Amino acid sequence: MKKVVVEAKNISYSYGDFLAVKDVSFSLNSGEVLGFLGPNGAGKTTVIKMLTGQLEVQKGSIKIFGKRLKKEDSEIRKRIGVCFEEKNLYENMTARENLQFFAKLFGIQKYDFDKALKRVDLAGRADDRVGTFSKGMRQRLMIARTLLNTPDILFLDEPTSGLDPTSSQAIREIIREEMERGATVFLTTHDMHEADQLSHKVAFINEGEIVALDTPENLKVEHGKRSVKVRVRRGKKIETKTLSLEDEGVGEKIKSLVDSKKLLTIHTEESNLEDIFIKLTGRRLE
Amino acid sequence: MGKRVSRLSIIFAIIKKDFFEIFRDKLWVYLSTIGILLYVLIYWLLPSTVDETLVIGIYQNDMDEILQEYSEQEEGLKFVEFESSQDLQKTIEGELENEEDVNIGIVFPDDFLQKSVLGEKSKVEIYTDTSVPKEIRNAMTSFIREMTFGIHSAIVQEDSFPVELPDEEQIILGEDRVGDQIAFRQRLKPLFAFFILLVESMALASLIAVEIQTRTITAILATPARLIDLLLAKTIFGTLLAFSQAVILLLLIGALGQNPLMLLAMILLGAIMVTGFAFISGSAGKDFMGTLLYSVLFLIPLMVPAFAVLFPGSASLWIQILPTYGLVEGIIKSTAYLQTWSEVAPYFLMVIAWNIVILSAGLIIFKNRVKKL
Repeated sequence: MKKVVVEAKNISYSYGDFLAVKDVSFSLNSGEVLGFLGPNGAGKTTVIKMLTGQLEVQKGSIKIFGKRLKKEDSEIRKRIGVCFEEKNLYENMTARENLQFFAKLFGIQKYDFDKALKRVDLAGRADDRVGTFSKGMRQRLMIARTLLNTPDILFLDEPTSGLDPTSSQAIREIIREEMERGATVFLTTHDMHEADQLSHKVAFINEGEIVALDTPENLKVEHGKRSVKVRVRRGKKIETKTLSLEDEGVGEKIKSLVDSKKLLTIHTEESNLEDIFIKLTGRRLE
Repeated sequence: MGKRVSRLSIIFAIIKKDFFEIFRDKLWVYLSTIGILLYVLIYWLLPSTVDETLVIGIYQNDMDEILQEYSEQEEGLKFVEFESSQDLQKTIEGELENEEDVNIGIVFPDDFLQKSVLGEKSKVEIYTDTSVPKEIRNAMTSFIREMTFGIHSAIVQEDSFPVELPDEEQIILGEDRVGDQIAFRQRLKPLFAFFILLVESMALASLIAVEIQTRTITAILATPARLIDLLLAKTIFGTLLAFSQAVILLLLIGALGQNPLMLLAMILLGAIMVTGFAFISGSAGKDFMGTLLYSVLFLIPLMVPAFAVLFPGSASLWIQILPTYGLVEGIIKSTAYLQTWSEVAPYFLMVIAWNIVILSAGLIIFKNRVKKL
């Protein structure tokens, strides 16, 4: 049976008068990936900061590995890996030196830095200063740093934001490998496709509140459109139509199209997470 | 849960990383090297000797011949006549200009000659400014006594008593700074270390500011490292950096010869003080310019006591309450005037008290800034 490793109960956080996170609750089992989706300023980073102990929870409670999260809990921090949205690396130090420094903070005595850098395709740049790295290279190094302590839980804050498709794909591949290893992943993103591909569960957060939380499939079934897209021949023209499966008599309509031999193709049309997010919040993910 | 990470190894790792970082900062390396070389150069260019001619302002009546005679007999004595005792006082106080640098004045009463001849007592006033050492003041007393004997024997033709010696009243204008005559270079020698400390505070402030602005601090705090480890590491690093730079300079100009332990102790306290200021300016500035502004804002008033020591008599109350006053006075008193630990203790206490205040303020500001990241 899978264990609950992250549990947030009614957590809230305010910056002065601004309530950034309102009564957020969710739980995450070991080996699961939770995609935390929301637009900029929705409260994703504040939630991640509370979960990693960088911000003290003002209301509610957080349990990590079944233990209530305390301020600066070294034992919990030893078992988690955090990848920040900002590329907070030491620019005057090389890729290897950056990893070596953080390894010491985790108390890691022996580590194969070359292997770690090879994994993120930075083996050839191991001894170059980070200041000379591109955005994608920095992000890959951030991922290597996050994985230094072989964490049981990974908190990844927008890990592919602003990256080229190749770098994004490489990072998604590493996340998949970590999932296979059994790591639990808390992933904030505003890339719906990424969340759909990687997550066991997704939570939509808007203006500090969770508006939906379920598996991507359930969300699509519950909130998506039930329709089919048909292409039919009308004389020399080809027409495309969308037929809602909710409409009365749609079955007969489809049957008559099939019988008439005018039907060229028929496809089910599932909603994607973006459509559902727009439907639930009235805004796009940007 | 695995083995606990040792706090010491975390602190050591952060200190090591900071050393790596600062020595890779080309601007800092250039400026520090040039700064030290420049200070050494200035030191060697400053005069190493003191003009030993003693200029004495005199107010007297009917004593021209006697003074002329003394002036010719005594090498290194120069008399400057004044019209009134008030003018003489004002000149020593710096309110009136004079071609000569007059910082000692003797006011002979109008009846001094007459009373000296008769062997009667009179009252001579000696005015000195704060920079005149005690030995010189005592020499003035001997000089007046000798002169009284001389007048009596020359005129009465008696080489014996009865002679009533005059009462001398020594009046020191300004704060009394007893000591030997010290060359400007000697006086400035330990202060170079103080200037280096202040400049180092800017380097450390920039290092702290960069760590905050690039948010590498949040990455550190996502590991088993705690905020207290970070604060301790930065304090140790800042203190070591400033202290080592100051000691290198002191060695280069040979300033560790006198009272070295006391001087090193003062420099160490100074290094802690500038680290505190670096925490404040590094955390308060929102960007590079902000940090620079705060650093300069602190630097200017903190330098004032150093100049007050170089130009005696100007240390007014507002200067004495500046945090670096005790530091500068302690350095000067321990090295230039060779005072003992007990004599310098008040300055040590003053600096320690200020250090507690500044470092606490710096750490609180730094902590709050980190929390807001």
